Amino acid sequence: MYKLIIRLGITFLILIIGFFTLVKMNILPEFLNFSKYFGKKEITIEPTALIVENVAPLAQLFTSTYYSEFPISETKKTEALFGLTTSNNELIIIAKGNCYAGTDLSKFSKDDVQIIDSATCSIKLPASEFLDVVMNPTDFEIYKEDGEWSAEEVKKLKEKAKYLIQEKAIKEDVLKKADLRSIQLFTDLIKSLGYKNVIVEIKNNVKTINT
Amino acid sequence: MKKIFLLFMLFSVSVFFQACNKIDEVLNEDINQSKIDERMKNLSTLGTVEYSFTKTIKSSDEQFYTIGMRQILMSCKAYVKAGVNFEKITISKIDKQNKSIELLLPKAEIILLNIPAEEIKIEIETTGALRSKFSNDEIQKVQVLAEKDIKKKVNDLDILNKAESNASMFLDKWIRSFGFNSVKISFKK
Repeated sequence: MYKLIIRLGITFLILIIGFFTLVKMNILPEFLNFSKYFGKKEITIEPTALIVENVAPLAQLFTSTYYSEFPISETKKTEALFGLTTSNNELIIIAKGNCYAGTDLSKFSKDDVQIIDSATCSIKLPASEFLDVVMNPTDFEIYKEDGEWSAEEVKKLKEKAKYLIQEKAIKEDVLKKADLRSIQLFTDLIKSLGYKNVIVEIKNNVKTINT
Repeated sequence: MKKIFLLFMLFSVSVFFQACNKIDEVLNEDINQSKIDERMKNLSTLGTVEYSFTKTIKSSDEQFYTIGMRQILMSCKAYVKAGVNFEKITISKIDKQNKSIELLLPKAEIILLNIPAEEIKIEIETTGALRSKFSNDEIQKVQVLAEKDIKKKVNDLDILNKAESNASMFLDKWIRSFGFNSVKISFKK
């Protein structure tokens, strides 16, 4: 009797080890793949349509982009046991994104072009501005979440990150660099139109390049 | 013997907590670095079209070990900008006397996809009596999946053709302001 139990035990053990080896090697038939029935299902989304709401013509020259990746945090105090104890709850999000700067050419009019003579041309460009700040869902990672944080609070922190990246871009003089890049691009293009001397001026912020 | 054992236990516990504190300090140092990565890049793309989209995001969660279901319905807006590389615009023919010009433009490209966080809204969230609400991390995962889906679908739309026709319209008008009467624009194949 004792030997029979040992034999059964050993057989059972060999079967179990064999089964898990096959699972690990991924050579089990589909219907024997128990993780399909008992494994944790990953979050999925149902297929839904992407609806076009508007199509608008643009005239924006993207001349500079500033990329940054940084952590942003928020803390709040929560009380427990009728205010007898308090704890600091922290939410940390790692955010990354791009701040695009350039010239909005829809603000450029025919009057901004002056043809002085057959070899000289002068144009006035609108000053560079931030055209887009892009921080998409894949650009955020919730790093630490202590306590209860509502979806609205998380959203507010993400909005703050968007504001911060723009602040950083301003500190890094991105707009100035975008202006210089616009001047360079327009000078090159107008020169190829046959003008030897090109004067490019930035509106409000007179910067002139004389070539 | 008991006293020695107690002292040893106390010592072990204090060493354990010290180690935990150290790990926490190291982690916090890493997090508090004001910046991890930063870089600036020059661009030269003329954006000529912007598409605005809306999308409904539906997700449900039911596991074999849970009783009841959780469902979430969100809506979001997405913006796509496309245009042509300004630097790669070439002049294939120019006749200053007759005031005519021929331009060769590169093919249009997608510049950016923007899904602003402030325009993602949770419309409805239903949870079974025995289930917890969707965590912020799970909501984040759902949004990431939606972004991937939008990226896929954007490629099937006619955005690039629209960007090219807008680019030729804009450049035609712009070049004419330099005194040209005839402007021909074609795209690289």
